[in-house]
Amino acid sequence: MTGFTTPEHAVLGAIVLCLGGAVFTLFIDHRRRVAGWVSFGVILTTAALVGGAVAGVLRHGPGPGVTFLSLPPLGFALRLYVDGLSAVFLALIAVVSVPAAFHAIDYMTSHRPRSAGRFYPHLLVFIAAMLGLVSTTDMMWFFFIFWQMMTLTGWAMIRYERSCPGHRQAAARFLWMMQFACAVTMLGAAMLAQDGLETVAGTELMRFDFDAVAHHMPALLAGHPGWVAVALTLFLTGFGIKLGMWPFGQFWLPDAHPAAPSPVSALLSGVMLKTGVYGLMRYFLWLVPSEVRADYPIGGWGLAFLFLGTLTLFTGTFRALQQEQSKRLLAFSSIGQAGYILFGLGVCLVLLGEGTPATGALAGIALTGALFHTLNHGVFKSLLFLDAGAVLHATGTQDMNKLGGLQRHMPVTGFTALVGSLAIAGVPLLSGYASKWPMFTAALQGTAASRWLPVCGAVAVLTSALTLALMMKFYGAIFLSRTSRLVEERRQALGRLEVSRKMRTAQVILATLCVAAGLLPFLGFAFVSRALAMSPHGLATAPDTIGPVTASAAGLVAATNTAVYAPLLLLALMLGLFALVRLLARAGGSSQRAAAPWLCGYAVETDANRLRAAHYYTELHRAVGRLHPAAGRLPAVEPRPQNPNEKPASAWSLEKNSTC
Amino acid sequence: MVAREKLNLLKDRFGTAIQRADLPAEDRLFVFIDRASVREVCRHVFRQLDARYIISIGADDRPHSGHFLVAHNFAFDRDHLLASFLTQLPADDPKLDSITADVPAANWAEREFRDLVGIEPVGHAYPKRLVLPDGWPEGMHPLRKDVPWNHVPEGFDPDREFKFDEPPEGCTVVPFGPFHPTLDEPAHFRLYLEGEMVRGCEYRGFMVHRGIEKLAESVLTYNDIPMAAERICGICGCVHNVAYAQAVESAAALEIPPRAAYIRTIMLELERLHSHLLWVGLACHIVGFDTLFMQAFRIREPVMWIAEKISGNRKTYALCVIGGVRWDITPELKTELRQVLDKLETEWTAVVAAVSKDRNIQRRTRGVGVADARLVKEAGLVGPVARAAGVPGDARRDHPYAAYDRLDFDVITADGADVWSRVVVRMKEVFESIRIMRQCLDRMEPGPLALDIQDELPVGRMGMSSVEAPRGESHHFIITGENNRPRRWRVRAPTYQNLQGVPAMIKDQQLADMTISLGSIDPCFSCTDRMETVDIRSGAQRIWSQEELLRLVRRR
Amino acid sequence: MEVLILILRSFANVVVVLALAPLFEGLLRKVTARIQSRQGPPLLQPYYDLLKLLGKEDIESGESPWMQRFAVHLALATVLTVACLIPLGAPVPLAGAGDIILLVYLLTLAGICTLLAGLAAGSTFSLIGISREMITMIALEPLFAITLIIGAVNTGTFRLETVLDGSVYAGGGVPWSGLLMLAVMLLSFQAFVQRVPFDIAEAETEIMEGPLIEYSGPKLAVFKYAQMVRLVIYSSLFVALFIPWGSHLVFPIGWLLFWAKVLVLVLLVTLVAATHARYRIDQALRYYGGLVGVSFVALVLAGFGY
Repeated sequence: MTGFTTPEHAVLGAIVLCLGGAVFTLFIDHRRRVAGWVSFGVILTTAALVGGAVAGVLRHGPGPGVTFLSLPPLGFALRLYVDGLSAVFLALIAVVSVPAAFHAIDYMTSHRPRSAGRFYPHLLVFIAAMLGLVSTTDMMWFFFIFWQMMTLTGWAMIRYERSCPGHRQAAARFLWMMQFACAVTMLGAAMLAQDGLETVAGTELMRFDFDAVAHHMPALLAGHPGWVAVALTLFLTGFGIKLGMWPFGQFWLPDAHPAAPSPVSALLSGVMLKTGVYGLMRYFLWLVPSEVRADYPIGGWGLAFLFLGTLTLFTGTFRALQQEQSKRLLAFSSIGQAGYILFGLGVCLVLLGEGTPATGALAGIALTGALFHTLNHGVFKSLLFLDAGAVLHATGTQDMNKLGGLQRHMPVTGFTALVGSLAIAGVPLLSGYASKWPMFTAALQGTAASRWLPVCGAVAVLTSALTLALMMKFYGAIFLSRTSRLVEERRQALGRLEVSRKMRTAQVILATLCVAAGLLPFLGFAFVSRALAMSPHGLATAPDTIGPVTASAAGLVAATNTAVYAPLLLLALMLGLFALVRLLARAGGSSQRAAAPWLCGYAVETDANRLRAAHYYTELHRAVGRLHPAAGRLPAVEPRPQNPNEKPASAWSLEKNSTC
Repeated sequence: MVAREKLNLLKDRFGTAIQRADLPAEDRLFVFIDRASVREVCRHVFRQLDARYIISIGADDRPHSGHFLVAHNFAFDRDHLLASFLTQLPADDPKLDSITADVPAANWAEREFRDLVGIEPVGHAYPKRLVLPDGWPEGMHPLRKDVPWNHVPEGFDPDREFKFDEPPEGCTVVPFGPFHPTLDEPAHFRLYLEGEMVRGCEYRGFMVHRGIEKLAESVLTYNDIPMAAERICGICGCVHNVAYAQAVESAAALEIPPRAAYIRTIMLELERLHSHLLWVGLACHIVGFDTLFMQAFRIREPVMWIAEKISGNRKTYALCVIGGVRWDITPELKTELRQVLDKLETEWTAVVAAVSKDRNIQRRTRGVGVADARLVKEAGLVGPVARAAGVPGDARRDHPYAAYDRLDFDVITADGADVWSRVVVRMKEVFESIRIMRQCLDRMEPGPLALDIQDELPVGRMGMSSVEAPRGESHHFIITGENNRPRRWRVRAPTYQNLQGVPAMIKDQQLADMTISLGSIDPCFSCTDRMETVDIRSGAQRIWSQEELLRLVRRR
Repeated sequence: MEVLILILRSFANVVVVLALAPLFEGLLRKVTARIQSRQGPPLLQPYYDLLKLLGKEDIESGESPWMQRFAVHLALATVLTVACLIPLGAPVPLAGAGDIILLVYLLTLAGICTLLAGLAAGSTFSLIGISREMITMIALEPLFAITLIIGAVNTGTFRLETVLDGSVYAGGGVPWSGLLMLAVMLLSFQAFVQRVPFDIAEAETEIMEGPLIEYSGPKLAVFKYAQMVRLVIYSSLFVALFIPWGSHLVFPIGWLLFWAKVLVLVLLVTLVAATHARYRIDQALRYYGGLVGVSFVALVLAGFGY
């Protein structure tokens, strides 16, 4: 613990520190590098504070919450409350924002001198807002304040390159979607709130306080179930918009995320989306006290989540497959991965609705998986955005058609991108598999609760093949294939392409986390399980769901003993066999020689021989296009940007970060 | 007199533009036209009179007439007439209007005489180098008479690379050939792919340089050339052999003995049998159906054996001399040939039955590589490709030679215009060939095998001959000359025209269909390339320079 | 002691697979040759081929040679790992290492290795090949996964030893879903083992072996070996899932019976491969699409207990 008395104090301290740092960086905006270091220092300290808070919660359990500011006439109070669930998201913010800020120091130096003032203050406020959002209990006013802080700074950072009309438009769309989401969520809160002050467990709470609303829920559920359902639908819409749920996600997310500078893209995809996940979990699992869950059609909501999640993960991933811009591809893939989390949450709700001990255990597995995937996705998606940012930084384009062969020129970036790609594709021994495994386990064994579970689960499995395809396209087109003309020109102009040590360090840290979470998933499970145990009052913490997965260094065993995963054993086995194969391959003592690829003996290799990223999987798109014409247009009859407002990266421009 | 009728039609329309004409036979017409009217006349012949374009020939006639000569050959298939429209060009200004805009099929032929004889087709839309090797210096035309056959040009640059056109925007360039499992011979297609879709291609061929035409004009004699002609192609060699002999015979107005005519027919049909069986096998291999590939080759093997028994060789029959043939078909061979045909017919019936029921093969070939009647006309496509598009062209019936006018056979057509139709046409033609050979065997009377030619052949006469090769019409054009050898001999193999239709056939098709579409014309690159030039290779110089290559060859 | 036995049994599986895979390949070639009226190579030719390739010069044309090496070696290592996770005439050796989800993802990983190898080689042809390979994987993975899921739904567990034991028929009553999947897997089996008519990603006459085009010497040997092992692995999985009967008999009999069933399956593969032409990728995709649809129907049926 730091010097503060409670985790809430630590979080408030972190928020204030960030705001203070924001003001400070505003004054030194002409010194980009100093501003970068200051912002990194602030974020590092913030992370330490938040880390302390998380550790405190996990060790001692949540306190009653602390009210820092109260204006009863307006029904307005800054009350922070950090329980296990908040702790998970706080940890995510801390873990991702530090490398992103470190990455930003060098990344942002390539911009115009004055521009630091338009970046670091926003970044710090943005992080402060997210910290506040996942720890405030005020469903109305402070929710509004934090949400607007996050939205407005996010908007400002998305339109960081104001000169590009596409970016301005993306930012505007982001702003309006977020305002709509905010309004919808607040409307939902207003519908549930009761008049007057409330005293719950000895604390006087404002009418919009989460605990006050929760206190009234049993009566409300009994009296006006339809009213509650409408409010919950509004929450689902509001937070759904935030996390990119179908059908809202496509409207803003794929345009907004790539437009922002890459460290911010990492935060937007890796962390900001997750505030939507937090909201959904908090409002659907913790708002209704577990005593009255019989009155609460949780299974029905679960099915809605399940279908929306399945649709989101499939459409998001499939659209991602058609992209030719690296960050846009990652943005669509974020929709897909958010769909997986939604899917896991849906599985959890469906199983909870069943209410038997066996399904309860599976529900616990699903929720653990969803939370773990939230963390993992935060890590690997930020990593991939940082890598894409590094490539953009080095080559000036995110058009994958023009990239190729960067593995040789940017080995560290390439290697971390490979780790991130394989992790997101769910390759065993990496983090993606460790968190998809529990979700699949719960979904596919929950047939008793709903026959739709295995079907949606199968769609999710199918989609993970799509995810793989998409990451292979991302990694292959950018880092493997052959060195493109653009890359060669850039290499000659710059001497070397690999990004600075600071940026590489940030990437390596995140990649290490992916590997660690994959090889030692029991740590993650232990963290999430402990966090859930330290989140009282919620439906998910009913006694029968504690400890759904037996996690130890030896491996993971589902509580039902029906599913196992032992990464270290598998690692040992694969290493052994890899060594065996290597031995075999060397047994012949053959010599090696480098040569040019075979082009049938007459033609000389040119840039035009590289298979363009647009041409990967065209037959798949055509096949789907036959089913529904809009999706399957060949991506590049003429090279035409997906969004008419977004111009493709200028052909061989050497201008830094020219994404429009 | 069809030839006279056509000539009068032209005279009525063009008047003095028709300078003079030669009608050596009922089915041959040579018209000399004014240089200024070439384009007009050809357009009229091709469009209004609906003639089929065969080939254009450029010749250096300066030592004899002081002029360059260009002949545009057309065929009036329904009227059984081959016509040649000749133009004399002054030695100091070898230019004439290009006809490619009106007759698209003339594209390559005009580029070829531009390369080899240095006659400029004025107004050609795409006068890119076609035949000469990449390193060949500009302004050096090997088929001109002042260039010796063994001349090595100065300034030959073995490292010079061919300048390809810019690929269309957004397309990946996929090289195809010269070394590719589907190609049995070298040729290079530069495919422009959009994903799996072929959006266009550029062809660079003529890599098999052997200098056969130049050799014939400067070194060989009339009776040597059939053997060289046979070596133009490893599959349809006998066709070139016969076509050359017939072209000379037509120029010299020689009539071969009937037995020779029957034997020529039998050998040509034997060659068709082996070629069709080979093609069906290769086509199956291209689509990955290796079992039928192997079976087709097994069935084909006895054809090769009987050919060996007749001629001493499995493939290169060395059949013709001017005025006749060299091999007789003895009564024993007759019996054996009949047995071979019987066995083949049974086995082939089984294969045809199996293939026509196989939906798997049909899926890969139906609607693929479409060359419709319009493309057939525009690009001058011939043989099974034309017949599969419902165009009933067959030189055996339209321009009868050897003994075909005495035989009863059907011209097989189909109307799908796709690869499957070509399969059907070829498979059925096997039965027609068997029928033809049986008739020949029945009707063949004893008699001499060749004319006894006592005199020198006349000089400066022109001859044409079209022979229906397995792949389509092979056309030979000849101008007789001094020293017991022709002045100019031009071979147009069927692939020369069919290949020009390939880009249209493969456009907007899958890459997987490209190989079978190309395979469906049964491309023969050595026929197409012949090669007029000398002894310089431009093969795989990217990997080994020429010197290294030579060193490598010598070391082994 | 127990650990030692586990290690030994895993090792036994690896050795058996490595030893038998070329033999099956040889058999396949021989039978193919006979169908084609050819003499065919000696039965042991694949062993000779591998030995020969191991000593040949290794030409690396990619820009990231380490990736080429890594991908190729991992390809074989992964399929061998799978060999430790499936029953090969004896119980699953390493059932404690993972479950059917792991199996699905490991088999995917084997595919990924091909993709990485093709991408690292960087030739136009290998990239077209991996594009096709990936499309095939997208279509095939659900088929295999759904088969396993149906087994899991029927038995209520993901454990390998339970699911890989005819579990598709364990639904009670007439196992419609299992039979449906049997049909689906039979119809798509050629694609799983990358043989004609679904060897589209390698299509020798179009893209010259696609992902493999740039590989020679020991890398090619390892790649080819991985493909041979793949044939054995998928055949074994098929037998374990759909033809489980008799595998539990006492050691030599059950073991021999198992391999006899695998042998029959390999012969079936040969027969189909020898009598078909290669499909185009779009045709294949339509075909797979239909099968995926049918398998989803089977999954729903399984959900209702059929």
